[in-house]
Amino acid sequence: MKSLTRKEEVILLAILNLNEGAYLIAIQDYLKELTGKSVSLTSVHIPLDRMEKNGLLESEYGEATAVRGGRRKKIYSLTKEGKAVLQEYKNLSDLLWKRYNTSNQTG
Amino acid sequence: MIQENKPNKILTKLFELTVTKENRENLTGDYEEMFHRIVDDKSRLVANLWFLFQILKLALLSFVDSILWSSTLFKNYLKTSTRILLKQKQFSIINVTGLAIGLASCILLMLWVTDEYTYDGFHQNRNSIYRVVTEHIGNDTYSRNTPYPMAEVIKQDVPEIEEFVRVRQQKQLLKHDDKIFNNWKSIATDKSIFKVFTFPFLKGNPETALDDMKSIVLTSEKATILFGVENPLNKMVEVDGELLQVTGVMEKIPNNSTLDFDYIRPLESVKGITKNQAFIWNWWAFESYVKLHDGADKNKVDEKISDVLVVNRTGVENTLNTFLEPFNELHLYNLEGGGQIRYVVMFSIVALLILIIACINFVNLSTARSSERTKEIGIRKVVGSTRFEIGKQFLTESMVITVAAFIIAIVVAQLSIPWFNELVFKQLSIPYTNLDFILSIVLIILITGTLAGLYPALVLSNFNPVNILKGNLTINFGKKNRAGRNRSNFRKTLVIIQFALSVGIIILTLMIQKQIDFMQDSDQGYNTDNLLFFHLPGKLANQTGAIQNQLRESLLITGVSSSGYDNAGGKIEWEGMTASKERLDFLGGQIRYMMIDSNYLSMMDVGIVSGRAFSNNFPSDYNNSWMINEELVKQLDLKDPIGKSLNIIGAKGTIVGVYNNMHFGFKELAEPQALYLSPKVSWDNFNYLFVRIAPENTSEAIIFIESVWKSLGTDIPFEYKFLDDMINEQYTPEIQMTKIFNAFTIFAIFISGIGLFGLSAFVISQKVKEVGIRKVLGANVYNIINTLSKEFLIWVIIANIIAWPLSYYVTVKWLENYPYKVNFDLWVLLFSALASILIALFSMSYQLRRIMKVNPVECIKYE
Repeated sequence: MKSLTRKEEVILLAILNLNEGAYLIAIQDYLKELTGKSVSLTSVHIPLDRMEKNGLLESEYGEATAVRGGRRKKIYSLTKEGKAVLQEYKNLSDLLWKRYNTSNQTG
Repeated sequence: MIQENKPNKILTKLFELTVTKENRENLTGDYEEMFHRIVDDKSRLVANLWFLFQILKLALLSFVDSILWSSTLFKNYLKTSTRILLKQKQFSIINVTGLAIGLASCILLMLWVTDEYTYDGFHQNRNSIYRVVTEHIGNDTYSRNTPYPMAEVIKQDVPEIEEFVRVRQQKQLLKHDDKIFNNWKSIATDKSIFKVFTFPFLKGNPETALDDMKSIVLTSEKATILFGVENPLNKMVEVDGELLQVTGVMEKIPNNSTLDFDYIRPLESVKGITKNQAFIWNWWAFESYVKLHDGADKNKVDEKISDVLVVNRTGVENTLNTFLEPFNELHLYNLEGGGQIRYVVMFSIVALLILIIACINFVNLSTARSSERTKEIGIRKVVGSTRFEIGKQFLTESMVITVAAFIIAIVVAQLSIPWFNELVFKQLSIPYTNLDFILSIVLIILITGTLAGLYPALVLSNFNPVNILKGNLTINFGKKNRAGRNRSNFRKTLVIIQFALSVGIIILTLMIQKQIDFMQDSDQGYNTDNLLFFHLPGKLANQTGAIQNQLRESLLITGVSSSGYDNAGGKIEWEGMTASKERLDFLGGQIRYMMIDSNYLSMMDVGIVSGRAFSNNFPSDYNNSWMINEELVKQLDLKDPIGKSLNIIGAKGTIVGVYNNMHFGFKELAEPQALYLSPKVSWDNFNYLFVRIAPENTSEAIIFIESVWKSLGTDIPFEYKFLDDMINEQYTPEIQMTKIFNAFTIFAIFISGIGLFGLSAFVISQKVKEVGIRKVLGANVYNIINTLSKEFLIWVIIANIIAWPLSYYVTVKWLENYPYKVNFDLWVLLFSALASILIALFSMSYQLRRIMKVNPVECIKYE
C-alpha cells in the first residue's frame, strides 16, 4: 500500500469533500477554513504534484479566467487507488479507536 | 481593476522559470489569483513582495531537490564504477599505484618548495628590510659584514632609513644549574631588532628587554629546557662567566627563518665595543640591517650609501661599493649568482614533470583499458543510455581512481615525511588544515580525473552501437581513421618521452655519483686519515706544548701537532712583483696565512714540491721563513720562488719551500696560503691541536684525549671533530641530491615500465585476432614476437637518442659548479641505454606471453 503523510491525507480528503472544482486555490481555501491556520500555496501544490505522479490523483484542465491572466486551472480528483488508500487509512484508524473505546468501557 | 493590477512582469517571468513545464500554466494562474487577493486585502506592494518571496522559496526547494536527485544518480554511478574497477583488478591496481606514487612525490617536493619559498615570510616588514652589503669591485666578491659604526652613520645621512639593526653572531658558553650548553647560537643585537623583525614575545617587554647590559632574552624552547615550567623571567643564567638576568622569552622561531638563534644579548655586551675597537672601520664583525620608510626608493638609498666605506676609511682605493640587499631575497638568491633558487626551480619543475608523467600514464592506461569495453558501451546505448550518461559513467570511473590514488598518495607521503625530512634537513609536515593546500589538492583531483575520463567519455561514447554488437572488435573510427592513427601516435610519443626522461635521470644520477666519488677519493694533498682536531680557546692555547707531551705518552696516539687560526686577508708584497694595484687589492683579500709548529708538515704528511720544509737545522726559520703553497705561487706568478723575500701584513721573510695545496674537500678551489713558525699577528697562538690516532682503538684514544683535556681544569666540554668527517660534510647537499635522484630514478623507471606495459597491452589486444589468424595459417609465434619487440625497442632507442644530448648538456652545466670535476663518461650513456632496454623487455614480456598463448579458435569465433 502506498504511504501517505498526514498532510497528504488531509489534502486528499479535502479534494473528496470539494467534489468539484478542486484546484489549488480552492483546496487551500478549504484547508484554511477547516484548520483555522494559514496554509501556504507551496505547502499544498508540492504534495499535489507528488501525489499525482504517484497515481493517487488525476487532473484535468478547467476554465481560464481573467483573474488568472487567462490561464487554465488544474482540477484534481482522486483516482481509484487514491480512494482506496484513503479508505485503508480510515479503516485502520477506525479499528484502533474502536478497540480503545471498548477496552475503556470494560476497564 | 484586474487589468491594472497585474503582478510585476519580471517576477512573473521569474516564476515561470522556476516552475516545471507541466505545471507552468496552472501554477502561474493560481499564484496570480492569490496575488490579486492580496492586492485587494493589503496592497500592491505587499502582493509583489509576497510573490517574490514565493519565487525564492520555490527556487530553493527545486535546487535542493536537484542536488538530492543527482546525488542518487551519482551513487549509482559510483557503485557501477567500483564494480567495474574491481573486475579489472590488475589494471586498476597498477594504475592507482602509479598515480599515487607520482602524486606522493609531487606532494613532498611541493612541501619542500613551499617551505623554501616562504622563508622569512613571517616577518611583517619583510618588504622594507634590507641587509647592508659591500661589493669588492673588480673581483665579484661581496662582504655581508660591516663595521660597527656604519649602520648609525648611514641612518644619520639617509632620511629614507627608518631604523637599523646590527647583529653579531657569537659562540658563548651558557651555564645553568649544572647544565652546560656551548653550542647554542647566541646573537648580540640592538633592541630595534624587535621593531624591525617580527619576533613576538611570550614574556617580558621587547622595548626594555635589552636595556641592561647583563640581560638575556631566550627563545621559548631553550627557556623550557633551562627552566621547565617555571617562569623564566628575572631568573639568572651564566654566560661566559657572567651572571645575566632573563628579561624576556620569545616565541619559537619558525623553521624557515634566515635569522636563527637561541638567545639574544644586547649589542653593547660584545667585548671590544667598549674598548673603542668599535670605532675602527676595519672591524667588520657585524651584520647590519635597515628598514626603509614605506614607499622609500631603495635605489636612491643605494646611491647615497655607495661610498660610505671609502669615505670613512683612510688609504683605501675606490673599489668598494656599499648597497642594500633585499631581506626577502636573502635566502633564495646569492649576490654572486645562483643560490637556493636554483634548487627551488629545479624541484618545482621536477614535481611538475612527475605529475605530468603520472597523469599521462594514468590517461594512457585508462584509455587502453576502456577501448576494450566497446561491447558494453554498445549494449548500454541500445538499452537507452544517452551519450551524456555514458560519458558521465567514464568520468566517474576515472574520478574514483583519482580520488583513491590521492588518498593512497597522502598516506604514502605522510609515512615518508620522516625519511624525507632527514634527507633534506627540514621539519616539514603536511598542512592538512591549510586552505591553499586543500584547494590545490581538490583542483588537481578535478583536473586529473577529468582529463583522464575525458577521452573515453567523449570518443568511446560516440560509437555506433550496432556496429559494435555486430562484432567489429577493433575500434573502427570510421571517418576518424586518420584520427585513430593520430591517437596511437600520440600514445607512442608519450611512452617515448617517459623512457627518455628515465634514461636522462639515470645518466644524471650516475654522473652525480661519479663526481661525488671523485671528490671523496681524490688525494687532499695531505693525510686526512684518523685525524681529529679540537679547539684550544684563549689561555689553554698557551699550554699547547704541555698538552702535546701528555698526549704523546699514549701508544694510541701516533702524531700530534698544532696550528693557529687560518688568517685571512692582508697586504702582500714580494720580491720581483709586477702586479697592478687592483690585483694587489684582490690578492690582499684572498690570501691566507697560518702559524704552525715544527711537527705540522711531517705529521700531516704534506708533500713538498720544491725547496725544503721548516727545519731545526735552520734557526732563522723560526722568525724569518715562509712556506707557501702551489696556489700562492700561481697567483703571485712567481718563477723560482725559493729564496725570494715575501712580506705579508708587514711581516718579512724568505720563502724556503713550496708545498702541495692542502685541500679542504674539492668543492672549492684551494686558497693561496703561507705558513710560518712564530706569531705574526697579535692573536696568533696555537689554538688548534691535531691528533692522529692509531686506527684500531679509536674510542679508547678519544677517551684518553678527553682525560687529558679534563686535566687542564676547564669546565668547557671536550669537543672534537674528525677532519675527514668534516670534509665529507661538505658533500652533504650532493649526497642528498643523489639520494633524491635515486628515488626519482626508481620512480621514473617504474612509471615508464607501467607506461610501456599499458601500451603494449593495448597494441597487443588489437592484434590478438591478427595473431590468431596467423597462427592458424601456420606462422611461427616467435616471428610475431620478434616483430612486435623490434617495434617497441625502436621506441626505446629513439628515447635514448633524445635523452643523451640533453642529459649531457645538463650534466656539463651542473659540473661547472665544481672547480675540480670529472669528465663526462661515455660508458654511462651505454649503461643507461642497456638499462632502458632491459626495462622495456621486462614490461613487454608479460604481454608478449599472451600472444604465445593465443588460441586461434577463440578469436575467430567472433566472426
